[in-house]
Amino acid sequence: MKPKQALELQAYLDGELSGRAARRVAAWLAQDPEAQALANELRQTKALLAGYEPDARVPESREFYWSKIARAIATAEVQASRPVGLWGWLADWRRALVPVSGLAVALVLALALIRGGVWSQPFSYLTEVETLSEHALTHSFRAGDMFVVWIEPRATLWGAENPEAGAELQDLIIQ
Amino acid sequence: MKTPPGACSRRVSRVAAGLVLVLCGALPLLAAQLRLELKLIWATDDEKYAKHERVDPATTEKLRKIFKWKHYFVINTVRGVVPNRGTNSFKMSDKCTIEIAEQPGTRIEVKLIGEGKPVVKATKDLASGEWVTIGGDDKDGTGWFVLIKQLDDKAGR
Repeated sequence: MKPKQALELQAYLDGELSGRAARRVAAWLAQDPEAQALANELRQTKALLAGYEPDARVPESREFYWSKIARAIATAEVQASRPVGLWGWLADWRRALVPVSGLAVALVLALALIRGGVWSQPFSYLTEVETLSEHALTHSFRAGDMFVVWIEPRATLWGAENPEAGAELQDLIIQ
Repeated sequence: MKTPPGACSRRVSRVAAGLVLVLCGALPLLAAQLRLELKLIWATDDEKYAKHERVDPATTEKLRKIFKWKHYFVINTVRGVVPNRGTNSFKMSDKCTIEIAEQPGTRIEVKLIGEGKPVVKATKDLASGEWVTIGGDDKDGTGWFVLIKQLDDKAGR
């Protein structure tokens, strides 16, 4: 029997042939013992497969069941790729080291900000000058990279109101 | 994917080195103190005080841009440290003392005391890098200054 005839016979048994072809194969099958033997064998095989196909049922849904299998395969692959010994230990610690490092940096920055008074003194850039002597007047200004506080005796500003006080203030500094 | 052992150790080393650098940078925060230099300066147009040490040319140039005098002489130089959140007094002359207090953040309080009497108090931020100068007119058309300069940035900033 030629392979083409065997395939045609299989198609006939599966009901896949047209009416004319099916009639032709049926006539051939009725006359050819070899074809009858093959046909019997194919019918038995078909019946066997249909009768003994296992009807497996899983407790979960199909998607969940297969996703569990996919996860198990992925975990097994990761386990297989993990380095062993010291490198494996370092790889484990590396996972913890990065977030811990980030936390440490954040804490240091927070400490710097607190110590820097950024939160407690939002207007720290402002300058205050207070005159503490009744004999003096002060004024301040910026020039270049200098902040200057200039002290003048009241006597100098307001004439000879209290000349002794002015002289006293001038004598206070350089002697 | 399998991680090469060398790459893993390099990453760990980098993270550790980064941590050490950050912590080293933060150390000055834990021990902030001010190192200051104060100069009592006499300003005059008269050369007769040339026996005194002249102020360095760069500072002289700065002062000349602001004040009217031609010559600036150093009468006294004092260097010292103001401890963290502490106060230190710097005796500039027999009668003049500068009291400096380190305050939270980058602020300092400078108080000029003449013959034991407080004359003026200034509170300012040092972060700007500005020098603090307290001065006034003196006899015979001369002037005086106390120049307060930070020797290094407070807290390394």
